[in-house]
Amino acid sequence: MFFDIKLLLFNNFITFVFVDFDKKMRIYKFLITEEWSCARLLDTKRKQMRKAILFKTLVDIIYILHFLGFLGVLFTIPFGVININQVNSQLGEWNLFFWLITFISFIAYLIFLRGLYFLRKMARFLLSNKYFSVNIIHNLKKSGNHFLYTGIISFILVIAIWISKLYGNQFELIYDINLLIPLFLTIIGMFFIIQSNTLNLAKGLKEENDLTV
Amino acid sequence: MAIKIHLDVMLAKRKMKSKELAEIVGITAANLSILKSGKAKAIRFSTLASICKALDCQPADLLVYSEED
Repeated sequence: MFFDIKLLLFNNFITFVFVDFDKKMRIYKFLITEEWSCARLLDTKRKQMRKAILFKTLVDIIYILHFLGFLGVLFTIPFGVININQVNSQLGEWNLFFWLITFISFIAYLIFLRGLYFLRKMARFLLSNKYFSVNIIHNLKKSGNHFLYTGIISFILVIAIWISKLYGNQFELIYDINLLIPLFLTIIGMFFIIQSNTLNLAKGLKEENDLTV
Repeated sequence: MAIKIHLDVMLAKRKMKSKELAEIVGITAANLSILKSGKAKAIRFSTLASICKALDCQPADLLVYSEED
């Protein structure tokens, strides 16, 4: 019986370390053959491919759902069935400020949809397994920029609504998803931009490595 | 690149083909072509040593520094 078993992978060697109850160590070292390492590489690639396919499917689903939602909003506006989140007022009572908020929200949503479109485009290129291609880097950057703008605009809108409530003699401190989503979108957007910059640097290094004889 | 490689000149002097050199040095013909065309961004000392050994020459015979236009 063994107390502890450890498996280490290092420099084409697979090492099993068995520690029994008397704390005696037995080490077995095996050289990984070329076929084995090829099989492992193929397995890793297959797993990566599976993840890329899942990612593309999820992005497709979210894009289609958002696009349908956008069409739904377009169709419901003429019937007056629209309500700004956090503001419980009827369409007839809206002043210029609320119309402005709606209009800016609409633009922010359009920017978000465009960001999703670029993310979808990037996911499509991701399936070709060329992680350092210009298409992936550019689309990721564009998507990040759009998400960042959406996040900033949405955050400003949330603050504007909060200030408008102060003018209406209402003081509310709400910690909910309406505040967190813009922040999250901003973070995601910035991450995408940083990631695209990193990929761009990696592309240069890869080129240099490929052209080293 | 400010560094030019005169591999084709040395190959012609030694009357050797690129394919032969690639086989002796142990690099692919594609990599040797990158080296010959001047597209290479770097060369390993080990590769340079092998090429010098195969062509019986010095690194200075292969590499030349020239001002960029």
